Formats: sequence, C-alpha cells, structure tokens
Amino acid sequence: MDYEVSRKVWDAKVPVEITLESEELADPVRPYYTMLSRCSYFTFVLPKAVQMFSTNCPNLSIDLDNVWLEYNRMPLKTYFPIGVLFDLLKEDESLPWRISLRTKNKPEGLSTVNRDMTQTMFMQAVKEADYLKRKGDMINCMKSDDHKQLWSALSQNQFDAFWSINRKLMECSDSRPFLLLPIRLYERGKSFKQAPIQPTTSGHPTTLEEAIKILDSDIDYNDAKFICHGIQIPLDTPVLWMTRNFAYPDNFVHMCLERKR
Amino acid sequence: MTQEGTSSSPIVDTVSTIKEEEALVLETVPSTSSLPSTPTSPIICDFRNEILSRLEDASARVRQFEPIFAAYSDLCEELKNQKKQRSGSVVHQDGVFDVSSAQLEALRNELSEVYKKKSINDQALLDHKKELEESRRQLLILQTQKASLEAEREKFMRRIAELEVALAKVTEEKTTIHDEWLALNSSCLKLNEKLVELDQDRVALITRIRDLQQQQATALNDEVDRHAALQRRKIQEDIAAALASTDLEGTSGDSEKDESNSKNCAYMPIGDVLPERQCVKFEANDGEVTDVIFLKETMAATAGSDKKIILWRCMQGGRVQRIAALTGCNQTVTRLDVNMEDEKMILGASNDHTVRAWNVENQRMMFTLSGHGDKVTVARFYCNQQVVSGSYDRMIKTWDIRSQRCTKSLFPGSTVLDLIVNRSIFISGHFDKKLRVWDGRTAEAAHIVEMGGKVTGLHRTSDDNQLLVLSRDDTLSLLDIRSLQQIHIYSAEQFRTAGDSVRCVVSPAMTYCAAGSSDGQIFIWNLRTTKLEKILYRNGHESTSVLSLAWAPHGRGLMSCDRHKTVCYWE
Repeated sequence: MDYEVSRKVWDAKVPVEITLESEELADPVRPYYTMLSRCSYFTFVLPKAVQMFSTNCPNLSIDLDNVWLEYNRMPLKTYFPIGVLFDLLKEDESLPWRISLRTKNKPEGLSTVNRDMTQTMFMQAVKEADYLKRKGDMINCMKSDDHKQLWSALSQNQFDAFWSINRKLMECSDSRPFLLLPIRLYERGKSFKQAPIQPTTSGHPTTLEEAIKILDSDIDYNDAKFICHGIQIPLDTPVLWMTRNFAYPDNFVHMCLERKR
Repeated sequence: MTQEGTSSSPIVDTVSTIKEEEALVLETVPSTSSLPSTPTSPIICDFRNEILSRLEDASARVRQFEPIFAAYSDLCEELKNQKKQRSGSVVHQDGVFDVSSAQLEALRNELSEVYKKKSINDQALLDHKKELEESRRQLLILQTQKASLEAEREKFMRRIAELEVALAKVTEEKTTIHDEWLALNSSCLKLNEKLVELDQDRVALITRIRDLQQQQATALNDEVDRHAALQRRKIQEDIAAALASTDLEGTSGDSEKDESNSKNCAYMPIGDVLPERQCVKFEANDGEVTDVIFLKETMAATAGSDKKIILWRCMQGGRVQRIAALTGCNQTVTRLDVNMEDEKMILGASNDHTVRAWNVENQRMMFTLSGHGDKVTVARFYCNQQVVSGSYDRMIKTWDIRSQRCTKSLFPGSTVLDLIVNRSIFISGHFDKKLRVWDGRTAEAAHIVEMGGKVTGLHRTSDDNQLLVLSRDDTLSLLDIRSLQQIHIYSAEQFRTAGDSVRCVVSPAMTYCAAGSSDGQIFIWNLRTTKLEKILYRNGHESTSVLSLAWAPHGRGLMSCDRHKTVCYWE
C-alpha cells in the first residue's frame, strides 16, 4: 500500500451547495453548504440538509423518501460515489458544485436509495471486486463483523479503521496474484463499461492505455482525457498499481472519459 | 504549464461568484505545490510523481472553501440554538420581548380557545360532581344489597354443606344397595339356571316314572292273570279229586258234612279265648315278616322284606293255605291295612317311599301314591276315599284315592313310626317319644302326649274309646282317646321290644292285650287287671324276635310273625 497516495485519495473533498427548490415556498430558503468527501455517498448528507431546511422553514414538511437530487436538469444517481458523479457531470471549473434538492415530480425510473440500500450496494461492489481479483476467497474468509467495520468506517470517515480491514483485500504476491483487475470506464450519457483485464500483458504490467483499448477500442487518445479522483491519469500508469492504491473504497477503479471539444 | 494557466482563471470566477452571493469578504489563499522527491525508478517515478502533484493541485483548489464552509456550519448551529432560546424566552417573558403582529394574533386566538375550553371544563366538572354524588348513593345501596346477599349466600353455603353431607350418605347407600343388587342379581341368575336344570330333570324323571309305572302295572297284571289261571286249574283238579272221593265214599261223606255243620255252630263268637298252644307254624315270606293282619275270619295277609304281600286262607283244623302273592313294591313292605267294606282293598306301605293298593279279589294293583322323600312306615285308610301315611321324612300326608294326589302335608318334625285312624281324627307315634293327635283340618297337632320311649306300635280298641301304645321303654300303656289320660301300664320282667317297628294288639272283646318280645316270646296281659296271663313260647318262634301280632276277628286265635320267615298261629 502506498500510504501517501491512499491518504490523499481518502481526504479529497468536493465543495457542494444544496439548494431547495419548491413551488410552495413564498420566500427563498438559504442554501446548505458543506464539504463532501469524494469517497462517500450522498445518502450520508441528505438527512442533515433536510433537517436544516426544516429548521429554517417551520411550515415546510419534507418527506425524506420523496427527496431526489438534480444537477443541470439531470437527476443524480446517488448510489455512485460522490467523486464519480462530480468527475462525470461537472463540465466547467466553477466551484462550488450547485445541486438542487427536489421534493416533487420525481422522474420515472429513478430509484430512491436510502442508507441501508447504499450499504447493500457498497458491499455488493466489494464482493464483485474480490471475485475478479481472487474468486472471492478473501471476502469469504472474513467475518461478518469485518464487513460491518468496512461500512461503519466509511460512513464515519475513519481512514485507519477502514484500511485495517481493506489491507487484506489489497494484498498481492507472486504466490497469490490478482487474476483480473476491477476497473470501470464511465462516459457521460452512457452506461459504464467493464471487461476482463489481466494484470500483465505480454510479460509486462498492463498500462492504462492498454486497458482502455480493451474497454473501448475506438477511442482517439488525442481527443480524450481520463480522469480519476478529479485528476488526469498518465496513460503509462500500471493498472495493477492503480487497483491497489487508487481505487475507491468499494475496491473498483472508476475512470471517467472526458472528450475534448 | 498550460494546465496551470487554465486552472487559475476558474478560481477567479469562483471567488467573484461567492462574493456576489454571500456578500462576504474573502481572502485568497495562495496555492503551494510540493516538490517531487528524488526518483528511484524512471517509470514509477514518472507516473507516481505526476499523480501526486496533480492530487495536490486539486486539493489546493478545493481547500480555499473549507474555512468558509466550516464557518457557515458554525453560524447555522448558533442560529439554531438562538432560535431555541428565543422560543423559551417568549414563553416566560411575554411582555418584555417585541413579538410580531402575526404571533400576537395567534396568541389571541389561542387565548380565546383556552377560555372556551375552560368553560367547557367547568361545565364538565359540575356534571361529574353530580354523577359522583349519584354514584356514591348507588354505592351505598349496592353495599346494603351486598350485605344482605352475603348473609343469604352464607345461608346457602350452610345448606350446600348439609346437602353435601346428605348426598355423601345417599351415595354411600346407593353404592351399598348397588352392590347388594349385583350380588342378588348373580344369585338370581344362578338360581334361575339351577331352576331350569331341575325343572328339566323333574320333567324327565316324571316321564320315566310314568313309563316305568305303566310297565310295572302291565307286568303285574300279566302275573296276576297267570296266577289266576294256575289257581283255576288247581281248583278244577281239586274239584275232580273231590268228586272222585265223593263217589268212592258216599256214606262217610255225608257223615263228615254233618260234623262240619255242628262245628260251624260252635265257632260263633262268644268271647275271647286265651291262646294256649301253637296250632300251625309255617314259612310265610322270605326274610323278615314285618306285619300280619286278618282280612276276615278265614283270610289273613303277611308282609315281608321280600317286597311281597301274601294272602293266606285259614281253614278248620289249623291248616293254612297260600292264596296269592301281591307284588309291585320295590323295597320291604312295612305295614298293612285293609278296607273290606266297599272295595275290598289292601294297603301296603313300603320302604321304596310309596304306598300301594291292591284289590283282594282279583289281586290287581289299583294305585300308587308317590311323594314321600323317605321310607313310608305306615299307611291307613282314612275317612272315605282317603289314605293317610307317615314316613321317615318326618311328614304325614293325606291322599285322595280317586285322583291319587296328595291333598295335604303335615309336618310334625319327627319320624313317624306308627299311626292309627279313629273316625275323623288320627293319632301318630313318633321317634321323639310323643303322640300327636290330628283333627285332619288344621296343620298343627291338636294334642301332644309325652311317652316314656319311642312310640313303635299303636292299636285302637274295637269300641274306639281306648288306645294301646307300645313304646321302647319296654312298656305298654292304655290311654283314653278322648281325655288322653293313661289308664293302665303293662310290663313284664323278660319283656323287651325288638325294634322301632314292633306292633301290639288288643283282643276283639277287649279282654286281653298282647305283644311280642325280642327273645321270641309272646306276652299276654289281662287288659283290666294288668295281670300277665300267659307267655307263649314252646314250638313257637324259638328266640327269633316277634315283630307283629294279629288277633283273629272271632277272638279264638292269635297270629304272630318274626324276623325269620316264620308265622305261628296260636289257639
């Protein structure tokens, strides 16, 4: 584990401004400002925002189950990590990231994800990643208490507690190598792409460029930028190294493709 | 370098945007980037260092917002707390703080609502007080009722206790009675089964008895017919012989006839004659000869242990001729009685528990009386068309001759040894040393006389006024039948009764009485003076017990029988 890189990735934040939009309000309500961790999920912050709005407007009653978020006229899929959504949807460089909180007219097909569902989807992703790396051996050896500790450490922003468990999932040696690498490629307006990518290609470590060729064979590298955790990644970066040090807490490398205009 | 230039302009835009919205003074935080460390490997150094530097730049762009947002959160928290405090202050210090008109209006409305609620509550309070009084009154009534009901309940509880005690007793009695009922039911079933069996046995036995009696009667009649035929042939032979002798001795025959006529005149009864010697001695029955009786002056009958009654003709000169044998009894014939007035019947009591009767003229058995449970010791003709019998089963039965059925059973309680009939009454002698007098209508003896020993023989005098009693204390007593007073006692030094069925006799003219002894002697006493007149022994029974005596109706002869076939006639 590269502590310096992992720590910087864990501590990266996004400034967010949440504005309440409602036709019932006569007076505008002050927005809610907060710094959100890239590795966490929107379901952690929604209760706080709703509480603040209710405090400021006694006549307003917000049902948490009907709340959904919108940015630039598009609903947010709140079951993705916040950093992934920011990298994918934010086009300009202006900060903070302005998000609208809506209470009515929810779009059809949009699933409301509460805290419990977010936890379930998080654990599902962790298990899927381990199946790709070691056919699920490591995740199945763990106790259920260890699974719970992963989630509680993430929800409470405790780096050391999280990595004391996650270290086992990231161990890689010649006797116990990673079989396949968990990596997903996102592009705005499309579903993410995922393919079997091996740690080595023709005897040398697989680079990001080679991985992207497998994921999307018609990319023009001159016109594209590959962004992860808010920064552009060099094409010669080994994917194995990224998997071990640059992955999100669900053990996946979420890569966003941004085309130049 | 190009990237750095690009990133600087958005920062400026962001700062201006925040200034416009928040109207807050912002200070730009200068960004600093860390220098890369010394590379160890060219490849690893290149991508890792680049990544680290880019992460640092991104972090620097974002870091400028953190203190602003932190301060914003603190202000929100403080505002929330302030609002809570103001809310508390408003409640406690209403006049101090200035409230908005909307709040004042709300408070006025709230106050009016409170006043309305107060009036409603006051009215409810009054109503509830009334209800409370009513409830208290009802409570008193109910308590009174409760007391009376409790008293009644106590009474009923006592009643229940008493009834439970009674129920326990009744249940116990029911159980006892049920057990008794079960026992009686079992007994009843068993007795019913026994009754059915015995009834079947009775029917079978009655059928057998009827069949056997028919066979017996047929056999007897055949024998009697054969006997009669023999007798007729004998008579014819006698007649032929007589005719022959008459023809041969015409003159002497006539003279004998004259002598016979003179003798007949001499035999007319003048008075009793004391017997002096033995005239005839002959063997009558096989075994014991139990009884002897005169049917008429020239005819006698003997009964014996050979189950037969033999009829004898007594002829002049001391000759005795056997006439016939009456058979049918299955055991010893114990007693004889005759009725020569109407139907000429002879009655025989037998040890086979029966009484039988024969016609003397044709020697046919006329009827059999069955019913006694043991040996029949005596049977007598009684009144008209009746028979009275006594038995070892301690019962006396009266029978109707025509229907041959038992008409009455008397229970004296002791074995009957002898019995005599005197007009409408009869007197029985018993094993328990008593004489019982019966009038024939009541079930109890009219009189009871205690004797000195078992009463073995009874004989009535010809005038029907006196009774001679032989008892086993070796004495004879003469009693008056009406007063039952003892008149005389007859005894002798050597006189001993020979058994329980020994008989005694009184002469027809009531001059003498006689009885046989166990040593074969015959004692004769004078009836009036009780003097022992005569002892007959020589050429007689010779030390064999004498069982019965019969005095000839004309008074001039005495017939005796003993235990060994012998019958003697004394004159």
